[in-house]
Amino acid sequence: MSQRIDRRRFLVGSGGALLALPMLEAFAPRTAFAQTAAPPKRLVVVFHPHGRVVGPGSNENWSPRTTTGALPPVGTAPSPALAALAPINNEIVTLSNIDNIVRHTSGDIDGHASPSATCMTCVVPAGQTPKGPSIDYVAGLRLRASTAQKMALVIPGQAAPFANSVTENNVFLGPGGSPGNYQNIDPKQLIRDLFASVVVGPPPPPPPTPTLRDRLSARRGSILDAVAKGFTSFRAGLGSADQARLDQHAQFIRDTELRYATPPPPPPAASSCAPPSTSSVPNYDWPSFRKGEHDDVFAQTQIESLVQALACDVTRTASLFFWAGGDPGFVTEFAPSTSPYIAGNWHASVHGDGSPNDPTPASLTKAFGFYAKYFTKLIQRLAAVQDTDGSRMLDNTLVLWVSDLGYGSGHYCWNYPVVLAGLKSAFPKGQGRHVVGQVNSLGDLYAQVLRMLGGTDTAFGSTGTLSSAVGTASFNFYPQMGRPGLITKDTPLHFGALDL
Amino acid sequence: MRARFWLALSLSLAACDGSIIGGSGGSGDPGSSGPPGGPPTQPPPQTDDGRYVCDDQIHPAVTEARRLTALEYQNSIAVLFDGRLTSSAQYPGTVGKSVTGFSTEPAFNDIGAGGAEQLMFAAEDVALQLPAALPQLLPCAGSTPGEPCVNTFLDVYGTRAYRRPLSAAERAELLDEYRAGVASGASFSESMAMVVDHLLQMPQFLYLAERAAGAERALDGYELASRLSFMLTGAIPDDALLAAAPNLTDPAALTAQATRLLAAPRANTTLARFFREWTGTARLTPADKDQTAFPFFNAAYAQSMNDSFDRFVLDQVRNQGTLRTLLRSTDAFVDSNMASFFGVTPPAAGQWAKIALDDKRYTGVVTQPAMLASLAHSSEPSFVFRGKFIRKQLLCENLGMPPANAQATFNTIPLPPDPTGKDISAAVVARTECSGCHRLLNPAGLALEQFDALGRWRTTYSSGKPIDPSGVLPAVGSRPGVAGHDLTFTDQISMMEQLAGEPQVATCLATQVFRFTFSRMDTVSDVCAIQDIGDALRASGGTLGSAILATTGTDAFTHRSDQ
Repeated sequence: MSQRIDRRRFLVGSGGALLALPMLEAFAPRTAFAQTAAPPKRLVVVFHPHGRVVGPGSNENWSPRTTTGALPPVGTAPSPALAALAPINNEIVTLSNIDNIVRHTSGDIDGHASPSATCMTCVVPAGQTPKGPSIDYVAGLRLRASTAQKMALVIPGQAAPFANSVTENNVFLGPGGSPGNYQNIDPKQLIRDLFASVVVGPPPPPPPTPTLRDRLSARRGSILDAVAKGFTSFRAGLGSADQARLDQHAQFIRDTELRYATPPPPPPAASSCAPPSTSSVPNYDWPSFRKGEHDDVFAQTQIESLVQALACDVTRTASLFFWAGGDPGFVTEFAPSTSPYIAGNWHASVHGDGSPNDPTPASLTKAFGFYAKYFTKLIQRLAAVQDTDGSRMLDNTLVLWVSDLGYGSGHYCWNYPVVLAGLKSAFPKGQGRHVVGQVNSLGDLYAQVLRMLGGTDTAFGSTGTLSSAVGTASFNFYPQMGRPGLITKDTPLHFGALDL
Repeated sequence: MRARFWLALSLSLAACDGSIIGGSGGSGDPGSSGPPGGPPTQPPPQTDDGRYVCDDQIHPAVTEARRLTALEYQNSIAVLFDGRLTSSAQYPGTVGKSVTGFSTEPAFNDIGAGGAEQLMFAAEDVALQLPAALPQLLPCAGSTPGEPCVNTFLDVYGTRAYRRPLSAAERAELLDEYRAGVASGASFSESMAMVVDHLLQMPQFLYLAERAAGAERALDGYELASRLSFMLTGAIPDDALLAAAPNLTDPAALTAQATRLLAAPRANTTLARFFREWTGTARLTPADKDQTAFPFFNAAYAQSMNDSFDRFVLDQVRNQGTLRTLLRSTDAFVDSNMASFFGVTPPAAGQWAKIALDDKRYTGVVTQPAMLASLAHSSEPSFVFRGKFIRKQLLCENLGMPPANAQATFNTIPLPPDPTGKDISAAVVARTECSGCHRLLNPAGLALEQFDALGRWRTTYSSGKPIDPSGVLPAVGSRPGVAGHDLTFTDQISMMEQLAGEPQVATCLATQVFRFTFSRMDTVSDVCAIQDIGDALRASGGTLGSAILATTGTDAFTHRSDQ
């Protein structure tokens, strides 16, 4: 007996195949993740660069505790670096001993590029080049209601353009390590891109005469379909390497086509969806934003767009991305005239060396507090939005905060700063805790994230040991920057579940 | 502290073998070849003077399909629609890192998950402009709109976009788009906008891709037209080139078109791009420099510095400049800002003037302010960046990546108070793990130490200590089995004078032209093709312009291989 596979599911399956999923699994309906009646589960990833300020040891200032146990009461700073989380202590779980193991399969010696290429994928890279999708993309594929829904949105949290494409482009990734779904840095354009098709309340009557833009929009699905067919015929005469390049492009066209060829989802309840207005956000003018001069307004605006993208069901996976480009001045934490970073280089300061005024770890801790402050604002905003069943949207949204490094100054790839929040039902031991367990990998963490969202994953990314994951007897083993005493060629990439 | 930080950022290159990048970097049995039917894994043998013993066969180049860069897209939209429609900022940019430094590398221009949507938005942005321009672009739209007029449009604009006449299937597909528009109630001009929307998303427009070749084949005339046009103008072919395309397999016809395109003003952008990307010279903005140290470096000043560089390199290409003059000329181009920079009398407001700088200080492209400022940090110069240019880009030597712990290592190195560049360099080179590369590149960068982070002349450090630009550049011309020789110099002038006469620099220029032309790093398979280009450079009289022209006559340019 044959089983018919409809074209759209086949195309989704083809995309999944790029993730190295078994073909049949890629075709299987994602019913386990597709929520219909109850509010959907969602994932938000917050990413900041350069890890933690102070390394493991007596000067530790990130970890709230040295053993597993309760965080202090709401209102009390959990640690110097996380002081801004005090208002939400009861909503979070902080984690110690999470390592980026797979990074050591790359002989690449750059202190930022290889950790960036692996910290969200856990897939063996090719030198500095990432080869796998990041956690937000994998979760996004499963969480989306239909192929019409946007997924794995990467929303800039700061205004300075990318300064280092090797690291900044290589954090959020799609199939095979292709670039992630980075959104426009202009806050107004972001709103237009995200909410153009969102209708709150009854749909407006169609205009009597469609504009040319309306007509082009209406043709998108058909044109993309024709273009994809054009790629198929064009590739026929090319060599195999060129065919592979065009095939990847064609797959992205098909993914895009599916969104435009499928009717948009029904409008969500007005009570939970309020698209931001472009008139309420600043004009983007990067020279005046280049050192984060307006990151207070910018980050707040972006958080609102992200939260509303979830509330309006534009997407169910979104990330708030802070990067190192432009070396922000952290004027939210210092007056512009007194910021030690406004005319200097923050990256160098993280490395503990002479930026102007030679800031101390205390001022670095203060600067890093920016991320904790806006993480708190994000959590508070998610808690304030009512979900479709009247619950807090935060209670249906898992929030994961990670970084590219552990101790940033030393390019350490161990003891990453990790905070979880939201989706209370996924924490059997409750929230308001700090967990110091056995050594776990980022792969363990992301597999657990997928389980918390409804999956059955026991691993994420590459599996086996460092050497077996590479698949050859000798490889560019790079134990440097790993946890002392842990990293050998036989170190496993997964250790087991976290104590949540 | 500051000097320590800036050096740390650019410090230490590991696995530095000093060998020449590409095919000649190989070692082992000379002349051994790869597996039967596959590409060679070892370069052919070399004679005593370093020439490869190449056979008299065709030496084609492997090329990969690549998407147009944002600049090429912008240029191509202008050519395609006679400058009446403009490009879109939504066209996707680059991804990752260019290995060669040239922005056209295929992988550097691959699209990501959101790229197809961006391409769609970009095509729509252009299509939306069409109705207003249609009367000029397609006169029959006003008089006899209908399918014959659509075919006229495809004859002109379809052929331009696809860089060859459309096949019947391609024409039918675009005609169908027009018919779908009409069927939806769209007007003629709106339906034509849909055709443009469709056309601009097709691979025939977006990709530079050539038919499979297997081991080797000659390109056809239309493929040559595309190669030539993108190489020299960064855009699709113009009508004259398309008209000549069927005959371009004739070397004389190819040379005639190459000469015409190279002479055209629109080649300026591409020529400047070659020199910028080869030398690592960025388009500077005020954000690149510390505004406390350089408060006068505003947007207009940065633009002047950028323009000054472009004018210098274009003058070299267009006025019989040679590799030697490129490296030794004292010419500079000044407007009021750059006159102030050099301390000379400014030309009339809004005007530019060519001046001769002090030949005791300035020497060719490496002392152009934009290049010096690019190979520097925001407030301090970098002898590592500048030295890296000399060894990696001017001598084409193989340098590795800096180790991840370079900064941490550097932080442990004791330095004297107020260290000079030579103090820092000596401390670094004394470390075994650093010396492999830094002993090679530091002397070259230290020779340029008398130029600050903005390229301004200085003779002392801020501490008051004098700057000593003398040194020894070791192991120049080394290759497997040949130790190379040392260049002893008193300052940047004598270093560049000697480098200008180095055969390895001339070979490296051929290598850089190869990388620029074929958008990739060279391999052992390419040594004969590069040698062909180098021979063509020498045979052409040695001017930079004729060198670029000569490249278009090589086997590598007129043939392709998939292996």
